[in-house]
Amino acid sequence: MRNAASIIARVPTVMPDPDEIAAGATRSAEEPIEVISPDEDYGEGQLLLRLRAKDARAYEEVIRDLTPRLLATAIRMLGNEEDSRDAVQDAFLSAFRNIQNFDGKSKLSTWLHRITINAALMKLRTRRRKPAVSINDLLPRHSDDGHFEMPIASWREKPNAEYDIEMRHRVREEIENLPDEYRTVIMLRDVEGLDTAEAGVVLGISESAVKTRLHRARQALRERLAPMFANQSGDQDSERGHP
Amino acid sequence: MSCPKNPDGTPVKGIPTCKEICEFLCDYLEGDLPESKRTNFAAHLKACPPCAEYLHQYEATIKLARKCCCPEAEKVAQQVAASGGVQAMPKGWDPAACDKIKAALASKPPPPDDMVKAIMQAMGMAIPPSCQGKGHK
Repeated sequence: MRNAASIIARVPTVMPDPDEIAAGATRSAEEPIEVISPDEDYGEGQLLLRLRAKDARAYEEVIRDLTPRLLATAIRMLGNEEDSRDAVQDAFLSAFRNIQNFDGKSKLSTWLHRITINAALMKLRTRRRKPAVSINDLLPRHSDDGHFEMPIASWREKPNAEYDIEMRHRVREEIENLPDEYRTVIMLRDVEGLDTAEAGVVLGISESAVKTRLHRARQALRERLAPMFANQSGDQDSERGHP
Repeated sequence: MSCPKNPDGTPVKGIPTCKEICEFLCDYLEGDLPESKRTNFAAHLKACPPCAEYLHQYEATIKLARKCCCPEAEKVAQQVAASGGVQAMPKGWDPAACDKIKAALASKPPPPDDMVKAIMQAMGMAIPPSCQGKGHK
């Protein structure tokens, strides 16, 4: 039996500003700022002291050290370098302007990674969005007694598939082709490594909604990837279904 | 083998159906199911090849999404392609080796001078001497 409700893709309308994340992700404005000693908190205490003292060399070190990684993240989210550089620059500026509020309870790179993701999502919001489409057809269907309506064709194993240039291109293409809200949640959770709570904050939705959206996104992507792994032997044993 | 059933063909009480397996796969993988449900979930997966296959493909999808968007792995992929593609890779080649190789292959990108300059200017700070006189890379 299929799900009765049609799943229509919508891009989240509530998305925190990178400055809000930078200013508020780690402490409220009312809380006193705790001075970090140089020997605690990921060994970055000394660096944070220098950043707070507006030491230009410290700023330069951080930008040079983290830009490649942050740029890679932004490019994965945005797909082009120009927008990605803008997003990374916005992220650095947001972070540096709010460095007094950073409590050092996560690594500086982790904090900046989150801010960059937010800046990239802000950029995405300004772009022309894809038309809302249903992914219902990509979800598994079940009969009234709860069994799969169609057999599950086994995947032909392709060792090291993730290192095959063509395979990598097609997987990225299939992710790109997912409706915005599903593509974004896969990027945040499965590619960028945010946990459910973090993804919920970035997307402005509940953890429960993140999990539901992520699960549907993975199911849809699985279905889109299936033809690449189809067992073409024609062997009936390659299809696993209930007798 | 198929879904666990009673002798009369009715579903075993407490054992989830294939539909329920699909619905809660994410919770199962992330360890968010209560222990009792997890046990029944595992019992179904053990007895039901379609669901076991679906789980395998679901996990493979997550892994592919992560690996295929990883820029370091892209460098490994280019090296592999230059060496004849994955088909030419030694049998039994451990993919985990790629994780070690990728670090060695990762070339240091050029220093982002323009990024440093733009941010320092926006912050009202002096341009570091190391960036002066250099343009966009």
